[in-house]
Amino acid sequence: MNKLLKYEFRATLRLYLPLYLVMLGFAVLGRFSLWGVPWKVTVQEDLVGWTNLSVSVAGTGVGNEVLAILLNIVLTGNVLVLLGAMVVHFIITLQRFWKNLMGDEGYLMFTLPVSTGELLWSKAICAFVWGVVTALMVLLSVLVLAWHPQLVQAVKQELSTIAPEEWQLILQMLHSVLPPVMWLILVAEAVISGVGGLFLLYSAMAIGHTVKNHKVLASVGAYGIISMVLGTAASLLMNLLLPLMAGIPQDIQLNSLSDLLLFSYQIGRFMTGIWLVALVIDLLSAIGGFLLARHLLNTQLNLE
Amino acid sequence: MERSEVKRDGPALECRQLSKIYGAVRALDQVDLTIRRGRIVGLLGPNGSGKTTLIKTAAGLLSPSAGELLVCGQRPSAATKGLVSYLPERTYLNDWMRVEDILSMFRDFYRDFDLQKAEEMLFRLDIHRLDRLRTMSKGTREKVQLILVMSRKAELYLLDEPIGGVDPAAREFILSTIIGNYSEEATVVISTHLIRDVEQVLDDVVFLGYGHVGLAAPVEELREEKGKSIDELFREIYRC
Repeated sequence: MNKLLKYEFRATLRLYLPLYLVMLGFAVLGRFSLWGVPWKVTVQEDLVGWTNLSVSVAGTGVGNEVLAILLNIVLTGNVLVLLGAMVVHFIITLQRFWKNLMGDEGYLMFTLPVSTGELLWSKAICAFVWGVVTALMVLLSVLVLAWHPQLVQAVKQELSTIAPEEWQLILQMLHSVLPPVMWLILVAEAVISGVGGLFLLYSAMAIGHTVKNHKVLASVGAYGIISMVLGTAASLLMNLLLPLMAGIPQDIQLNSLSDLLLFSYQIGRFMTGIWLVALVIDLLSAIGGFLLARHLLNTQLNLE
Repeated sequence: MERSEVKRDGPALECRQLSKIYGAVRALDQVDLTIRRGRIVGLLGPNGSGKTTLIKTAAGLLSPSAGELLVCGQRPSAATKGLVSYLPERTYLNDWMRVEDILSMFRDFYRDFDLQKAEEMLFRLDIHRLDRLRTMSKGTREKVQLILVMSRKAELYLLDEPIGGVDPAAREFILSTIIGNYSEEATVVISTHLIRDVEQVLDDVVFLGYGHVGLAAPVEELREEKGKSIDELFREIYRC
């Protein structure tokens, strides 16, 4: 398994490295374009009391309007690159399975003395790790792009208006809504639904591969059907398990601070229940996806 | 019944009522065949006779439609793949790799891979460790593939059309590489329709035509019995 992972990471690194370089390159380019522009950060409070920070080009006149257009182009370009990165990650994930296992390279992969389960796990673990790294790179690109002293100053200033006792209340509410166990559940859910989603993709491609003609179309169709079936099963399970696992919030009059805290606690309990049910459902579908893909590749493999 | 034990003394390859059906085509039709250990076997047949299907089923790349195929007494599995050295009729190497990458991959996955032997053979062909597979000609890539496959000390070598589509000089290199490198106790199955070129190295032949085994016997026995070369016999049986 470790050997498979080593080769899978090595094979994919040469695809992801240029992608990340392009992402960071665009972010740095965007940042320098933005640095040259005289900025203006506007702080506005809306009707509900939320604070909005907006960034625009300082000053007026034709020159500034041109700058504003350029600024928009740079920002739109960056957003497209970041969205593109996620699309490229998805395409690499599909291609690594399709080309490396279902294509000519499969002649080597399926004659290695490893089990089909190990092949599937190595592909899924590698794709999941790259998914996380790609998401982090998107975040880093946004930070590189948006980190500006004026903006940081405005955020700091806004935060400093919150009094210490208000901070305490916010933290208490956050703790009630997101108790420590919830964080654990969220991390587990992210991993299980991420890897499970990959197994479902692999199952769909394995189903598509059993068809003689139009294998890609058959794979897309199979994925649609799997998603529909799972969606229905998930909503049935959710309805069945939710009353058992999640405490439904009571009708509370929010007249005092303690009412607010009680409400936050109930919301936290309810959300924990929902995520726990989601975790169970995703775990079942991940196991199902893995077993289906493994079964198809073990018994229906036809590399032609 | 699931067989889990690899047999070191039984037949190298066994087919029992093995069928493989593609839509309306029966590529293999209830094939019964036993290939003994320590033999060089020619799997001979015209194009589309089921040779590649049989070899790919033994390598674990195709699932039988009916019947069963056993490699060293076991159905194709991770364990049998460790015993089988398979040369496909196409290039399966990742073209972004360098020669040293594919060498280390074979060394990592196959315990029976002899790195030194592979390096010596590559050196004789003037192929360097840092050469990229992408930049090689199709013929050179096929030679690299053959060297990788023959540098293993496998129990069963499955060589699918190793001399198909190459010039006579390359054919000579390929056959001498096969004969000079397989381990004596091992079984070698060579599928081809170029019978004249391989006839002299074969111990046994299996004639496969239209999904059926037409004949399976030792070469010497056939020559003596029929008074003909294997090539002549094949032409007689599968005359169009």
